[in-house]
Amino acid sequence: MIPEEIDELMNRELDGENSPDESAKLREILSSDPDARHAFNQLRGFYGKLSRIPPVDPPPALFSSVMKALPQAAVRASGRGSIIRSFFAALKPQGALRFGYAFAGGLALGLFLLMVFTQIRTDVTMKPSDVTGALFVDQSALSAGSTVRFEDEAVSGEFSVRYSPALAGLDVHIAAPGDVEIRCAYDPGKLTLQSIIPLDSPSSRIAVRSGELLLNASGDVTSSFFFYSPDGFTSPVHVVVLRSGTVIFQRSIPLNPGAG
Amino acid sequence: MEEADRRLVHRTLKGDRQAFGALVEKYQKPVFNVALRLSRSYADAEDIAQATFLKAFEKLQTYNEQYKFFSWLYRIAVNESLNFVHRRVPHQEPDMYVASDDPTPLERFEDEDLVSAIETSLLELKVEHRTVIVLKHFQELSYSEIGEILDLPEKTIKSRLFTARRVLKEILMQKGVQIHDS
Repeated sequence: MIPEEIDELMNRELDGENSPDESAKLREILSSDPDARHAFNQLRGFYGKLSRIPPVDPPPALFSSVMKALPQAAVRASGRGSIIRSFFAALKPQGALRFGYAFAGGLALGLFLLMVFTQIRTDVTMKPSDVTGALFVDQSALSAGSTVRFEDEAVSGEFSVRYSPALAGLDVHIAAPGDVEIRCAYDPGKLTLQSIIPLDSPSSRIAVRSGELLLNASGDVTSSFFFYSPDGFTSPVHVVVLRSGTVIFQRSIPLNPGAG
Repeated sequence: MEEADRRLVHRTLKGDRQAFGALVEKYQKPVFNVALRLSRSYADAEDIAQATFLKAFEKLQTYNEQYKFFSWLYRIAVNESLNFVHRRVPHQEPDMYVASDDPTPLERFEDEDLVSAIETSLLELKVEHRTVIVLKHFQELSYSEIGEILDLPEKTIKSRLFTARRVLKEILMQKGVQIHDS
């Protein structure tokens, strides 16, 4: 049994609240008392376990939903209008400056058009790996791969792989009366998420992060995730299905046809 | 940092909406995480975080500058979260495991059972114990900052934290989680 005073010193040490003297005192105790050392190591291990829970990114829409919901009445625009007006008044061209403004405007327009056309040409020649956002997937070019199924008393579903040399699709079908979470973890260094065929269920949602897809499904849901890998699919996708906080299914699903 | 927050508060009070946006941007992650760890529901945490910022915006004139802005904001977040937890229908299941970017998803895949055990065990703590654990271990606040947020003396925070840890450790050990120095 560790005396309360020493226990407190240990807790405070790991909390970073000890003074240098208190830390020195604790070190002395730990060097001479094996029981205290064991208790301290155990406490440190406990801290380590808690630190394994990382912070979670807020939903991307949180910021905009807060800003949209701010009461309009609280926004006081008094004074700002006059500042803006005076700013534009100061810019108003006069006399010979008018020609300069017209020239600058024309130049800016020309540069803008150049940028637009350059961008369009870049889009046409970009590599598949550069594509971000939605991508039209010619699904007829994909061959059917392996399918894994799972089922517990309340939820059933399957994950099916479709593939081509550089593109693989993971089709997800879930039949659940309640809420289910599906987590797909992948190595972003080996697989690039190219496209997601949206959910057909309005009450479900998908969150995308680097190396991870989170699908919160409610009811029957179908969706597809497409991955690009120019060097073949040596890296699998790890899927975890949870219901009420309990893992009901987890599997590493290879995306290469040979491993099915 | 505190001075920067105060400047943003002043600008907001003068009608600068973007200044408040900067505060939301800066604190949305910690506020969301406090809400998430106390409610253990991703969807509810989003609602709680939104309610926190709206309340902060509405009550900004009552903010006392002798305190840190984030302490004041956290206090609102904790209160909103606890109100939500108390309102929650008994036996209503919270969301499941919630993932994050750090460490990598593959590493977390391996930590699944541990994370799940800790999150489940946290729910078994009394709300006041859970709150201090969340603020200390997940927000890494000092005793005095937690005291400021909860409006309690540091001594109370300390003893509450020690008790909370002891109970949480026991719950984890009952669940078979090995507690040792790793």
